[in-house]
Amino acid sequence: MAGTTEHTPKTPLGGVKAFSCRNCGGQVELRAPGQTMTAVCQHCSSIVDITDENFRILQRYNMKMDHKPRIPLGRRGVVEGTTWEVVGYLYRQAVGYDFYWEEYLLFNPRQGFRWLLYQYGNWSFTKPMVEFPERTSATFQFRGDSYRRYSTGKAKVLFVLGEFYWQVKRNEEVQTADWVREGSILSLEVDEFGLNWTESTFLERKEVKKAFGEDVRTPPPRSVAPHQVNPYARQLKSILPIFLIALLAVFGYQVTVSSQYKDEVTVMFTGETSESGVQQVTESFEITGRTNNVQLDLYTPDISNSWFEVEGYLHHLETNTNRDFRLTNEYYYGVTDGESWTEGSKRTDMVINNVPPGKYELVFTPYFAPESINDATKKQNYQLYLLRGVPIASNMWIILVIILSPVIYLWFRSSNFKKAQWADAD
Amino acid sequence: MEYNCPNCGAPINFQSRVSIFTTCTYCRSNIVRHDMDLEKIGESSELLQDLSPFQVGTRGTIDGKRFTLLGRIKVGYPTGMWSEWYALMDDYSEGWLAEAQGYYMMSYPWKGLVPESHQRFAPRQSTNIDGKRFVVDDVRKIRYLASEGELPFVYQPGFEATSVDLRSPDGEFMNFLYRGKEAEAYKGRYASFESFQFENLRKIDGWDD
Repeated sequence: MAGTTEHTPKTPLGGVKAFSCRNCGGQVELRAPGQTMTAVCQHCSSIVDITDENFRILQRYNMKMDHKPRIPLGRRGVVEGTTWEVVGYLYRQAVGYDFYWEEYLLFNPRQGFRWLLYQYGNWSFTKPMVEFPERTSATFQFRGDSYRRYSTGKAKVLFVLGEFYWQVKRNEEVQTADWVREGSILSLEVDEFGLNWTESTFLERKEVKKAFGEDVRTPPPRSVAPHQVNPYARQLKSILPIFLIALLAVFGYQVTVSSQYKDEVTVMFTGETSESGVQQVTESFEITGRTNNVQLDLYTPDISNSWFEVEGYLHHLETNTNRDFRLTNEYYYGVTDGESWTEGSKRTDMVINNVPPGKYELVFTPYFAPESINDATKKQNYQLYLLRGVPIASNMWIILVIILSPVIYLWFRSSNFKKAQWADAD
Repeated sequence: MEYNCPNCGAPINFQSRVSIFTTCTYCRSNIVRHDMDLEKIGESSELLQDLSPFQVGTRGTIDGKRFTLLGRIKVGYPTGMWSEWYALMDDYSEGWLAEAQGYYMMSYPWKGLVPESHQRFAPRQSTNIDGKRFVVDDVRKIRYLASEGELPFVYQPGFEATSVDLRSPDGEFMNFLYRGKEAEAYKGRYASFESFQFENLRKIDGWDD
């Protein structure tokens, strides 16, 4: 503050719309006369105190700046229902980092000043804050929302163009800190005069183009902005109730079906045979109710170190259509290296889906290894059951995987988005 | 009450009974009112031609109270300036509407206990006023640069003082103004431009065409 304290403005009247630069003599036009304090000469880049009647040079430069703002100075555009004119441009750097951004100072004679921030393809609209947030432990509270700390550091001004309502200086550094919630950043800048709080909201680049012209150079974003709304988290949140309802419905259905299932055997065929490959036909039987599945079970209590197979079809007498099936039981056992083992089973089943009600018979042929015939009876015992409307758990698991897949996909995208979003945080 | 300018004879009309100072809009003489007669005490420099959205006669509302802007002081500080508009409330009380770079803040004379010296304040410091936490925004030297319209006191060109601005987290505002041993205080709050529902705003070149 020393050095400037004794200086108070002498040209208060603000009627000056243009002045001659005392460094290069070039004419400098003002866009917000009486509202701005410093202006940059577009010819020599010197920074001028325009509150001083002699247009004192604050910082002297002798080179025209070849920095081209994405939105030209003097351009007007509507943001949040108000027309703004671009009056200033700052190019800034995070001190000590290879991280740069652009700030466009916007002016409206009634609303005052706002900024547009540009960072690697992402835009924000920034307002000065009249109220300021209060710290509560690790987060900041502001208007009922909590903000997480994102980063702290120093920001440095590298280039300036246009005019400003404070004393802007190149290479000047200020302390900064950012707190973030979805859609909004609260930023604090601390300089010798005090604290400045601002609030930035995320702006889609197409909105910037719509407001300030299609010629605004705004390439696709190279990073995820700290306050950018996570679209995957949103979608995830929106499908979660549907997912839970679907989950409950599937479980509910399964439970209902299982509880109603009475394990009723429609047909039991008990056979004994000494000859492999002789076709058998059951008596005809009725399948009632709605179209449903049937399960066929083959039980062969006598097989040991051998196999037994039944191949056949379920014959619908009314339509004369067949549904094929094959059931194979294998059962082996023995002792290897002192360890006893068994392999296979004396019981297998299979399901035939979509069986309409009607009159049926089973036509099948048993096959077996001849050497496995029981010596005493020369016969092989087997039982074939037909069960109706069996609840099938595997169907449920397939449905669950189908329901779950978009949830898993969105969760994966969402967590990747979040990771990228916080990559630059402290 | 109708008056005539003691310098050029043009009609001078005081809107407020409490105004004792005005500037003749024709010859720019600064005029003080003593009961029945007017006295010229100098001349006002140039016309205030900034991009202020207000003019003498602009009407507005705050907290359900209506007011009229009658005059203003342009105040400078080391790195900038702002306008303090004298707002005559419809109940004849005094208000001041500060207009600074798009911030708008209405404050009223405050009769509470003013700390003796500005030296006890520094930016970012926290202090309690009437049991409420305020944070010092800035402490700076100010100077009156120009005036326009009616004022409830005699305007002194070049008046200098030290001003302390404080703010509460919810946007309330306090100002302590120190000049020598004298101290004044104002209390009020920030509000958005829209919330005032202004009428009779000034037309601004290049923005209202």
